[in-house]
Amino acid sequence: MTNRRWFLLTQLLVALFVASLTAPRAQAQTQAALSEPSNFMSLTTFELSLPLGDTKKYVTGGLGPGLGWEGRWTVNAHSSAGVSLTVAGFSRHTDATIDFPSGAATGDQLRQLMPAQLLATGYVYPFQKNGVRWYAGGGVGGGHVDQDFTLGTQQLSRGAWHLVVAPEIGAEVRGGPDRLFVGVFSLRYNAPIASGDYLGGGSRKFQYLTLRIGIGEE
Amino acid sequence: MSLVPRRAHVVATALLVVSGLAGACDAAPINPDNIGWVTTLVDSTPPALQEARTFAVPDTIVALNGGTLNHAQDKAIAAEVRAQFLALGWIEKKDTTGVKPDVVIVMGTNTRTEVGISYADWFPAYGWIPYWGTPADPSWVWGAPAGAIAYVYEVGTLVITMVDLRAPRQTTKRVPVLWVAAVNGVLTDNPILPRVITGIDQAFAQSPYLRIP
Repeated sequence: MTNRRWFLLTQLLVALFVASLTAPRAQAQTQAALSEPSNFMSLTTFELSLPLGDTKKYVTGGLGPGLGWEGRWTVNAHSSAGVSLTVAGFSRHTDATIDFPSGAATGDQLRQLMPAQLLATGYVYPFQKNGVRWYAGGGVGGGHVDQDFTLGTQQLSRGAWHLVVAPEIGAEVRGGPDRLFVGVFSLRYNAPIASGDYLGGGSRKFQYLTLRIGIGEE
Repeated sequence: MSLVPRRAHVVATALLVVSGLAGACDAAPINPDNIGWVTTLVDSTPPALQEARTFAVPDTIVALNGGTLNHAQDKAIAAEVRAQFLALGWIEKKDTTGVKPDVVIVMGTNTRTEVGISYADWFPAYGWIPYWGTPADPSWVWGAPAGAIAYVYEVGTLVITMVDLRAPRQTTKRVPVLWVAAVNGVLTDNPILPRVITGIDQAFAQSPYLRIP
């Protein structure tokens, strides 16, 4: 089920990405014809996340993959605002014994976490150097975390909504014809507020630090 | 250079990356090695288990749910269970006519998937509970240890159940169960003996409360 959910969400992101390639391009071409710069940037981001805090229990290989789409509208020469949709995946295989109050279980276990976030974002661009435009800012919004625990062929699932604060620093690099293509490199700290009633008992805040590499166009 | 082919190239690249990411998400492949889990449930409400000292283990494993089972390995499996209890300090009492043992260890295997505590449709298999002595009929149900979690017991799960013979509950028609061990993915028409033995050993290893002080 988790892989299916993951696949559906990634399909949604791809659809958003494809749509974003079409709409802004038409808008950009119209604006180019009017000799006006585009004020919208569409980004698809490929992400690698380092688990922190409660999330550390859900990674075997050290990092979790992710994917995102982000739209940024220019507010003025030094700031932008937008929206960001991301999904990430963390998983860990173990083969150990878990003790419960009324018993124990041993066998192949798979723990999975899939956080999905929708954030309103805002960035400031304090300076530009050698064609690289540096920025700082972040996002605030909501996120849902799916938690799955599989023992053999048996799966237990929980999930909860969280308020998320995600500060971010990064850089934009432009290239291509009319400098319409953008590369973005950034670090985002995903800090959800603790909530939910997860497996293992009680609320959790699944934090992680994400390296985002984005490609897009204006 | 036209932007359309470039865009198509970008989309294709994105789709490839997405496929790769989806594939990278860890899955739980189903094979005989990783479905062999072992769960144990215990009713630790004092003093029933703490005061039990003697046991009996019938040599037959019953096929639940009206199924069939090759019984060639029954005695070897029962012998392993018996050896584990003896090693924990229990005393075996085989006599069915004199003073009965405190508990009887009955074993069955699922021939269909069950959810919960896996002894549905037990009566056609047992007809009666060994050493029980009290008449029983299909209206009796098997109890579950307090706080037990419902598991999915796949076909081929060996279920080892400790029934408390000191506390027949005639009015509730509920078979008092003190301990359950389920070893999944080990029994087919021909039991996979090494895996059964390994699973049984694990069940006892994760049940330290069975040791007689």
